[in-house]
Amino acid sequence: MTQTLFEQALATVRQLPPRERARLVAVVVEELAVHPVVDHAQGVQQFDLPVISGGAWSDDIPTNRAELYDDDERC
Amino acid sequence: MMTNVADPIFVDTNIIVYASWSAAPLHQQARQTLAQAAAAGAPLVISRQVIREFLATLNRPRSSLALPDLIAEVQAFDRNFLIADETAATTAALLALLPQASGMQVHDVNIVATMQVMGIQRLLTNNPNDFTVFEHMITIMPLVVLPTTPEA
Repeated sequence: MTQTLFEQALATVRQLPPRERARLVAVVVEELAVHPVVDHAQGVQQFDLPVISGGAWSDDIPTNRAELYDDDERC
Repeated sequence: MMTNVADPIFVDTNIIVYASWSAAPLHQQARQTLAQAAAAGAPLVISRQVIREFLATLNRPRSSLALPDLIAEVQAFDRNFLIADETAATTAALLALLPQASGMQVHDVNIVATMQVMGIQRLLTNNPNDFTVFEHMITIMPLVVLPTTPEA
């Protein structure tokens, strides 16, 4: 059975020792930053997200991650 | 940083909360901004982190929202957004970004790491100050408050 390019790449990656895998991950991250994964053809044509009705907004509903995670500590 | 109106946009959790719930502040502004971006051909991207945070934000007694409604809303996300998975590459990017992320929440840094791995430059958020450390790397799009129509 003919392997796809993806399957060949995956098989190659699985042969790499852990150190080389880590190096590959770092290179892939840089590569993806230069050549984006998301292309314009993937955009939705019409935004039709349903709206939830009911309930009531409350000021103690978190609107940022410090509130959501109840954590004011920052790195 | 030069970006195009059709470039992908990462949509932060607060925007999803506002856009999804009619009782939320900035509801109309969030929906209008997302609709305009989609109409311009910009892919709207969220991540599994955003989905978890959306549920954690609204699935609480004070919101009085029914869990089935929240689940149905999340199930509609994949028709309106591209959903980024977190991978080993995301973690590697997070670890690389953390040393330059003084003053930021780790969870906010993970959003930037996800964007970096996905190759996304633009971030739509109502918390622009939480990301200023990385404004040399990403374009922060604050939610624009619509002008109110003067009463007749």
